[in-house]
Amino acid sequence: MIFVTVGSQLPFPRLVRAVEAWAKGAGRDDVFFQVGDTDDAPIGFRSARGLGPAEFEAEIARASMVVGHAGTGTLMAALSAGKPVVMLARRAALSETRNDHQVTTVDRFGGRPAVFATVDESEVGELIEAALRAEPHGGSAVGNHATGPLVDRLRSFLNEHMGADGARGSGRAARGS
Amino acid sequence: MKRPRLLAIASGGGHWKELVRLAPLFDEYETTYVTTEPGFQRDVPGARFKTVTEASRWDKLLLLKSALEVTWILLRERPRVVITTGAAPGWFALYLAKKMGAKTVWIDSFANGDKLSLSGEKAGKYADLWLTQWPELARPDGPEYAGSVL
Repeated sequence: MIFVTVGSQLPFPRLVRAVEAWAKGAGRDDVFFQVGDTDDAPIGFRSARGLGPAEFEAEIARASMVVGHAGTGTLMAALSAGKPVVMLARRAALSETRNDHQVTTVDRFGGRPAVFATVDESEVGELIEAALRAEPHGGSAVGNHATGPLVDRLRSFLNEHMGADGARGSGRAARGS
Repeated sequence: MKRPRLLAIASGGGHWKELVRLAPLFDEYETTYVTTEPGFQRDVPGARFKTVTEASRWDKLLLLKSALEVTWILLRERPRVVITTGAAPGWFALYLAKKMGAKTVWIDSFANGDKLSLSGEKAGKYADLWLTQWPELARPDGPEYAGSVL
């Protein structure tokens, strides 16, 4: 099963069309489309406008591959579930988002293990094929939680400001609960 | 005796998913999580969890509603530290928390690899710790780069 997601905000017909065209050409009907707030869903496939967090995770778990917009939520969800991900960047010039930050995400993450990313919808089909050919991604590429210097930096900040005196309270008003 | 409280806030979607990657650290403290989607409670099982209205700077009325909800939560929770990965509700929480005397941390989303988000840029003035997740965006007078959530 291939899970296609446009994220929680705007529809992204350019991506949906590209995957639909590939799926029809490849004879795959086991594609599930999350299309956003639009009536324009591909005929002959399972689809939904939006998914709650639990359903979203379930679809990712069920899928062998995720195809999505180049959102960081999609990227992290796929990688932490150990699934390869194909991403198409939304473009500001096409009013698909407000700025081209997804293009940057494609530049920075495309080509990393299990990440297949492009700004060009005509490449989506071949990237899906490449992701299908790729070695199974296996376990979790990024884990569920951050490690490393960012955590250390935040911990030292929190130790400084939430620290020992704070642990015993320092006269702040108690919540009335 | 109350232990000091940490407030960790982010909009639904990528912002929240980035924040949740830091949850094991936050869970060492008395943390209240705030986001815009009730279903995300499942990401922080057992933790204190609240929701506010999703808003962007493009819809003034929703923005106002969201800001009032954030204000209410800050007044109730009285956090000693507020940490956010954005976007609009997180920015407002950071701004107001600073005015209330709390310490504040802005972590600009790793979605912003070419330049800081607009709110991330504005947050510099109010953040005690102002972080970008891209070394290319670090500047001598901030933001600071100290790694990323990935």
